[in-house]
Amino acid sequence: MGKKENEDAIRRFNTEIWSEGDMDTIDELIDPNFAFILPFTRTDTIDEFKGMVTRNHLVFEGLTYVPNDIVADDTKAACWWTLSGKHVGIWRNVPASNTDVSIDGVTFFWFSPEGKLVRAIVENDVMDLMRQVNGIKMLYEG
Amino acid sequence: MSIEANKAVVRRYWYELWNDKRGEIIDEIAVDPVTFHFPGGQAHQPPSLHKWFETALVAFPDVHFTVDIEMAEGDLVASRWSYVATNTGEFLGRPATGKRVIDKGIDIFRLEDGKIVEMWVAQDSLGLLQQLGVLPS
Repeated sequence: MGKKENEDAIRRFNTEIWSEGDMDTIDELIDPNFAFILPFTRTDTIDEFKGMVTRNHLVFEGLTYVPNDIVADDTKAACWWTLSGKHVGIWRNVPASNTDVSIDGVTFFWFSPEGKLVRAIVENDVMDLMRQVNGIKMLYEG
Repeated sequence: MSIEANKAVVRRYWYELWNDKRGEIIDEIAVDPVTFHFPGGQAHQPPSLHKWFETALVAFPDVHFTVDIEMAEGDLVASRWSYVATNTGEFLGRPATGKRVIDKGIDIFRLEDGKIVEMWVAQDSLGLLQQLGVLPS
């Protein structure tokens, strides 16, 4: 696939998959063995990834990802994005704080020769999200 | 500048500046100040690349980066990196811990006329502070 198609896929990854929770778009854009790797967890199949998207929508009401900038070539892409939502469920053992949260992050993506997403490595601002939901205090309290 | 030329500047950033500790090249590869977009949760938010280099080398003088992946398009270059370093000096107002840490991240650079003008930085600050014992695991 070309650079433009890959940029479009990353835009849809953020808006249709993460913001709208669209499972059909997951099936369209993502390889069955998609690896989604975060600093503290990972999924290794498309079904595990669907579960993660679903869970995150339960934890963060109105979950929205805005792709701010995308760099792409014929096999890879990187995206700087902003996440926002309301923390209404348990996240990393932190109970719902009912606070509106927002963090930035960057994700690196790889595409298969067929143009499906096969791997993504995420660097998100877990530190700031923990601070926003009062999780740092919980770390000290054990 | 071409995409390849921009990638070459960013490689100098990683290898000559950080790994070879050649602070004198900062003004060759970057404007002053670079516009930084640090994660809100990153405690260390230096105002300039000069200050960043200076303070980082006090805390982690043996820092060594590996760039796992790079890509570029237009005026942007993205790098997936990791580093190993030993905390042998003051960091964030705390004394040295002597601990060896590993951190990973992704940076996006914007270049103009062969110099870095803007950077978006994403890394695991929580993991770093936990490795240093600053925050409980």
